[in-house]
Amino acid sequence: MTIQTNQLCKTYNPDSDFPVHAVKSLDLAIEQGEFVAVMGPSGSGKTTLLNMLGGIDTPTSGEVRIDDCDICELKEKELIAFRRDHIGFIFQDYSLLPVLTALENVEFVMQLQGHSEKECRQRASALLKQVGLTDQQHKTPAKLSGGQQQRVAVARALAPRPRFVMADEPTANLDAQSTAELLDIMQQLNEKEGTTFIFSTHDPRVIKRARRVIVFEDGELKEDRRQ
Amino acid sequence: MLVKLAWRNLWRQKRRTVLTASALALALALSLFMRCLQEGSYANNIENAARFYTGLIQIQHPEFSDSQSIDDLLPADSQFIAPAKSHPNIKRILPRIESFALAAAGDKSKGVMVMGVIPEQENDYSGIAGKLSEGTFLSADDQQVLIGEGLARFLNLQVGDEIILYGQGYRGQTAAGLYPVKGILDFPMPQLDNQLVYMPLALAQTLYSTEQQVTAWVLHTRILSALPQTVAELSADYDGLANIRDWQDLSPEMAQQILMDKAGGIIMMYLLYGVVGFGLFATLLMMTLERQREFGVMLATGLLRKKLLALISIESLFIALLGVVLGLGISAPFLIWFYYNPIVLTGETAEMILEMGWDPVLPILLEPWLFVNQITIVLGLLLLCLIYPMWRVYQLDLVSALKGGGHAG
Amino acid sequence: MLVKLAWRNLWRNKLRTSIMLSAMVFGLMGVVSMMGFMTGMYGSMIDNAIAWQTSHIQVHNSRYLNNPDINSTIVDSHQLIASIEQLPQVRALSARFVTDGMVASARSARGVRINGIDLESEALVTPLAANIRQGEWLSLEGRNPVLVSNKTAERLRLRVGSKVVLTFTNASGDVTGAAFRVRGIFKTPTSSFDEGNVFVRRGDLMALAGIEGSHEIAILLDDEKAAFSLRDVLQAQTSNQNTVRDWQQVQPMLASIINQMGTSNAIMLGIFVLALSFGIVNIMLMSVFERTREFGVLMAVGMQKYNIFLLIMLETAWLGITGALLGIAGSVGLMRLLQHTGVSLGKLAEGLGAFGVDTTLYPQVSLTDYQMIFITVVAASILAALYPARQILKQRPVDAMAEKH
Repeated sequence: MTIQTNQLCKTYNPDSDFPVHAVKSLDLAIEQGEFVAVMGPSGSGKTTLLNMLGGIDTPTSGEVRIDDCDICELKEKELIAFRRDHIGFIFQDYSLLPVLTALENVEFVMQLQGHSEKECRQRASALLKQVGLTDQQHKTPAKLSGGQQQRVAVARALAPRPRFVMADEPTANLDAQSTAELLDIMQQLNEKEGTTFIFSTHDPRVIKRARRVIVFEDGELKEDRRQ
Repeated sequence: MLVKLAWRNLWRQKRRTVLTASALALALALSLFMRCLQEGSYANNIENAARFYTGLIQIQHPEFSDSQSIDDLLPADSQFIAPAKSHPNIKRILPRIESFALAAAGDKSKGVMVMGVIPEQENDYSGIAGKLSEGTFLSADDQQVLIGEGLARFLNLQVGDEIILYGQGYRGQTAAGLYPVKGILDFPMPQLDNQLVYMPLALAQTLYSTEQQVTAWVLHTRILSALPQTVAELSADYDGLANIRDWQDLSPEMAQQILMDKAGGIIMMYLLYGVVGFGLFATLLMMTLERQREFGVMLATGLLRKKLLALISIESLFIALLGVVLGLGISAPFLIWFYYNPIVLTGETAEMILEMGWDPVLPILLEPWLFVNQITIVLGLLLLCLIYPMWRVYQLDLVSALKGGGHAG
Repeated sequence: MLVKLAWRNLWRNKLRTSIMLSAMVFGLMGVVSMMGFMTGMYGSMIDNAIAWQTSHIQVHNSRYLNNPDINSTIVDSHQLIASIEQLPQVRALSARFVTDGMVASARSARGVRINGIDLESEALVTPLAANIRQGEWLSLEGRNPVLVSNKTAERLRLRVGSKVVLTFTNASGDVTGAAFRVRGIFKTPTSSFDEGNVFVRRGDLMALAGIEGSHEIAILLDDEKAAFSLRDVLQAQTSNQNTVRDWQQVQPMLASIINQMGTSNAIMLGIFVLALSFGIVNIMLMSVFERTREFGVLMAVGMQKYNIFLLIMLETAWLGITGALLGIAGSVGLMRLLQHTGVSLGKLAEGLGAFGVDTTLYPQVSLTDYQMIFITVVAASILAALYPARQILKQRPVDAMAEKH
């Protein structure tokens, strides 16, 4: 599965005296199974890029094609369904539903997809085991540490078997230990299941682990290297 | 400065402010309208009862209220009535004879109430001449009577027909007389309309052989609110000689019905304010708790805690005032319209109200105290709802506020 | 799933939700109390009117209704009475000889309705015989006994054994009268009725009037509701010179009251629910805006907007249902208590006594009332949810997520 952008462009306040060019005419291609880090300082536009790749934001011009489907052409309902089935999100602040337990959080998107209760439960338990949180599966986020919550978020993102996972600064609120554990898990999943991982980050520990690094600055691609 | 800040803070959460103020406005508008309607209705009924029947005060023989007997009379001379005449709050004095008789016409009979009055004076007081549906009004020396519409129908009488009155006179003398009907009255008090015979005082005195005596002196005051005091003063003047009774004493049933209706309305009003009050409380509380961080910052940068409390109070006051202004604005057009065009009830409802002895009209009373009353309640409610939130702010711990913040509950 | 989520979401802010629920309980208990009070009061009025004044059905000569002439007695009354007694639904009947007149004592006089009754049957139709406060019920012994009310006794300074003169116009059109002795003093719940009525033996009154027959037949049934159909049956069985009326026709005010009650109850509930709705809209708006980012996340991970809309509606529905149930539970408890102890009207008893309301009030609330309350509150909650829920539909996920609350 390929993600491809053609002259992707995002400008805020285009008609005012001070338009902000968050992303300037980007051409990019990402293949299945990649472990990509998009790096750059704050305000470089990497979050905007990720949002557009994930269909959360619409570009000012240009297109985003996922397997030859221009997601910008999709209607809102179709787009939401597309995200549900094909894209997983991991947020900087974990964004778990506070009233659900870890297990219920992981099951959530699968239930949206319409899987049976048994299926949801089985897969969610398995995933939580993979991220090492079986003992905490019945706790609500309030009772979990930051690192634990982010691991639940990873499990949640993967549960509906997405084609690729977008993670926006996933390690920003974590300590060193949790960061290392998290990256281990994600790398494992990437290697075992072949899920594509795309990070936006300026955490050097993450960048070190990535196999491909895209450097973003002032809305432009500065460097695209494999390591 | 605080005031400006408070005002602007209010509009940060436009929707919440508007909703809370609207709820208050609704409660105020409804309550005000209801109370004005109620008080208008009471005033109207009291006015009618007073003008057409009991007056505001009556001077009676001490035994008369129990016995209602034609034997318990008062002198009709000016010496007797002098203390009342000289009282500053007494506007009118009307002598009356009121007693029972059996009225007969054709082969039907009915117990009736005879009111002997001085026609011109009574008309001055109540405009009773305007209630004539047929015939002409009485003059003081007439040998004729007026009867109520209900009675006329029952006895099948028309203007010019004769009515026999038969009863018990002073000191056991028989009262009997035959009188032509000079006119028919649409008497505003339904329960009397069915049994009223209206005649000149002199004629009544002749019928009952009372000579120069009356059953009651009916008084009207200049200022209604000074009534209790006036009653007290007159009681002192007439100590032992006569009983001074006010309209509530004379129509206790009406007084109580009014009381009950008022109580019902007021309970409903408090209920309404109560429900809205909970909402107000929730809003104020949430507002306070959500802004803990903001308050922490303000306190940290040097704002006195006292002033912070003042800020919150002013904000809340603004919401309340907004609600009041809105409420008054909504209700004002209705109040004014119905003030000049009172609702007249018809049909089944009107019948029911007539049966109960009330006028089927809903007039509105517009007096300052009604408005002040409502505004006071709203402000009181506000004060009540502020207690807990203020206490929370008073207890606010600076460090946890700066750290935690934005965390409601 | 959404239902469960909605319920849990409701309790995120326990304080806020609790306040709202308290408002609903407070308001509902208040409204139910008022409704119960009114229903109890009017119920009392109606029951007393039926028991003492109208009975279930009354029969009069049609002319008598327009023009209460002593000569307009019921046509073929004996036949009619016989056929009434045959009917199974009839519990009792009383034939009365009635005229308007005056009662006078040495002290004073009063216009009254003089009721000539048959002692046995009257005792079965109204509770009069059991409510003699002083003295005793009429009997066949003695000459011209009369029963007066305590109000009349007060006015005329009467005691048991006092002498009064009853005057009226007889069948020939002459004013006639006779002396009677007070045998007993009664009191009914309706003071206006008391003031205007005295009771004597039929025979005595007919002798004075110079005419025989009945002016009024009052019928008491086993079942109140049967009055309306039975009325037609009886009308068919008797001459068309007589008019058979049911209790609502005899006192139309009673029918009005029944109609009015429903309306005023509905109005009270409506106003309360309206005030409540403002509160609910406010609370839910707060709740929705607090969670803007969370909703953005939900949309990002693939939850459709209409599902989020539904979620908010469900949360509000839960609020309404919980509040309504708690409020009703509280009300039922309160009503049980008040129905046990009754509400004493004390000083206001006189005013209400004019209408025939008992001095101790037992509030009544029917199952239908509770049902109506429940449905109204829940429906209003759901309606109130529309505005806050709509807010979500307008959001774009990216904007939602950018919101830092």
